[in-house]
Amino acid sequence: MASISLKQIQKSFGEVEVVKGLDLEIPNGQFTVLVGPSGCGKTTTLRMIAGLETVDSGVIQIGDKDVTKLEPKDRDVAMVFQNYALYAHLSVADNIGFPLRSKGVKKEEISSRVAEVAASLGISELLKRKPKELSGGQQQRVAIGRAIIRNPQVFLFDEPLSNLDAKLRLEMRTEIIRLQRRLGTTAVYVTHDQEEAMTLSDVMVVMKDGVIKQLGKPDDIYKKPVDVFVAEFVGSPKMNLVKGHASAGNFTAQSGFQIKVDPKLSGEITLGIRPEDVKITNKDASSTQGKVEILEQLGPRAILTIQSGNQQITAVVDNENLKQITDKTNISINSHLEDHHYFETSTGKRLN
Amino acid sequence: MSFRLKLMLPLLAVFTASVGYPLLYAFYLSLTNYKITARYNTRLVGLKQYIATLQDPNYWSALQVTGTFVLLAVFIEFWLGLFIALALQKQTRIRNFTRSFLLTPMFVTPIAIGLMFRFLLNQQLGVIPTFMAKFGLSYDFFGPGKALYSIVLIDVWQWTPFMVLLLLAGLEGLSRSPFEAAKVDGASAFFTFRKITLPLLVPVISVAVLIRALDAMKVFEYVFAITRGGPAIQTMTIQYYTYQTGIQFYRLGLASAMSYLLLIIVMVIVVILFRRIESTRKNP
Repeated sequence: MASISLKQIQKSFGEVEVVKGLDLEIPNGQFTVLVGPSGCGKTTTLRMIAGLETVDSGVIQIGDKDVTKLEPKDRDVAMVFQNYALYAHLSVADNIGFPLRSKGVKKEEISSRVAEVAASLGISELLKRKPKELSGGQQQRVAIGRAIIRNPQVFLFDEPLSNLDAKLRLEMRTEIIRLQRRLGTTAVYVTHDQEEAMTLSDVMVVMKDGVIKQLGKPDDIYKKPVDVFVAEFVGSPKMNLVKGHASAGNFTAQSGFQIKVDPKLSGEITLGIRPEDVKITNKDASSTQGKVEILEQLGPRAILTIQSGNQQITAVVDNENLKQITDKTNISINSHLEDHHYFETSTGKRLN
Repeated sequence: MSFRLKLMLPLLAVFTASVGYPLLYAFYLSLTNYKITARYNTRLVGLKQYIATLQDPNYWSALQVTGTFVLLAVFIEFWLGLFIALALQKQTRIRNFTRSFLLTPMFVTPIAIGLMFRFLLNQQLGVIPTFMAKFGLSYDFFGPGKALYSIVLIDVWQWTPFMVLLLLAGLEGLSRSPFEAAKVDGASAFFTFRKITLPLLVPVISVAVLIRALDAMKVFEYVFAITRGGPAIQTMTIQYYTYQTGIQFYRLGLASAMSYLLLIIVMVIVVILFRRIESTRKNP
């Protein structure tokens, strides 16, 4: 177990600067998730921690040790890859035992450790098989087994679930959390899936274009995104973002959409409201009128796509509040001022 | 006749005329006592020529010489080729130049290579022995007990690039991820090579070795251009011996029998090797 510290990490591929002076402290024993759209530098950052990519400038420390120039094998990290990266010609047992074998551990010890790890992952009966005889989920379990067998200081996960189907992905997600909690090993996990990031992380790091946009507990990031990008990226369905003008507590969007806002605001702002904060109310002075364009049933909830003038608003509503609402119903919507997110339109920065 | 069969007809016709007929005719010859000098007395003699071949100690010696040549040449070409391929794979600058440059020996016809080395290595006028003499070294490249190894070296010079080409293609076709996994798993370069690179490369290696071995079995030009089978019969390869029997001594019946026996031996080896390749492909 160890903390990881990245200081002023910079990396370019040819002309393209993919990681731009990144500073990041990854706490000991915690589950840190790097999340962002493709090309944001998250995977490159992870690979630099692993030692699979060199660092152009900056320092990487694992524990107290400067590992910037060290080979991957000298960093005491274990990695789980997106495509599993199993050794196709070796049996499951040999795959899991590989890290120990390469360190020259005795055969008897390897087989007892392999048996132990396989049992903890529920793959004991697969040990004699070759990787191609396994399903995707089983292959990923083998890859995880290979990572945990030698008790590394750090686990690195590079989008390990993205090749699995949706149901299996949820299962493995729970399993990875359970495993990390049990072992207490520092974990760094890369994903482009914000939902995965929210559920897995102790610390969530949102990245874009090679820089960290926001770092914190997932719930804090969800409740107080620092800018328009994070606001839109985190949460599903996406936050409603409306550009417009505020004065004396009234907000008027470019589309003509109007709503009450914090009276202290004035000038050009972008208003953000999470879909679940859009409330359906009775028609009154403070409400806005709209028409349900599309109603998507999710079971306990429904997603409404509401057209209000030229403005499209997404709302998530509990089924019990749906009542008579169907497609094409005219409704009134409202939202609490404290649920509003305000951003400066020119810079995208948060105002409240 | 179906349209598909009609489309195949031209190929079948060409194939029958150019491959089928010579093969069958050679088989017919192998059952006769055909000699160019006495071709009006040709008659069928059954398996007599085959029996004569099997009883000929020179034929067995030629097989042994060829076998030694193939094993040595392919062994050296494989390891050297693999070494160069691994090095080239790591190369980042002027890759294309090195690669095409390395392949040039393959573009030269073997008979020219044979002649070239005949002069390069000639004990009296060769550049290389002269150079070695400056350091007080004296070595007769085509002397007794040495000529076969010199021919092996010539073959290595010309055909290692072919190995490099195939192995490099194989190496570059391998997925990078197991190698990255091995790096993180703490494997040393040698351990990775032994436990990952080589096993994953086995299908390519089998094909490359098979092609090169079959090709090396046909060795003729170097022998023809340099040693003519000598000293004594130390470089008398099976192809050169067959050529000598059939073309120089006019005994085409006997030479055909020799060729057919070789064909059978080669087929047995190829079938065994192919079975192994297939089984490794199914269970890597």
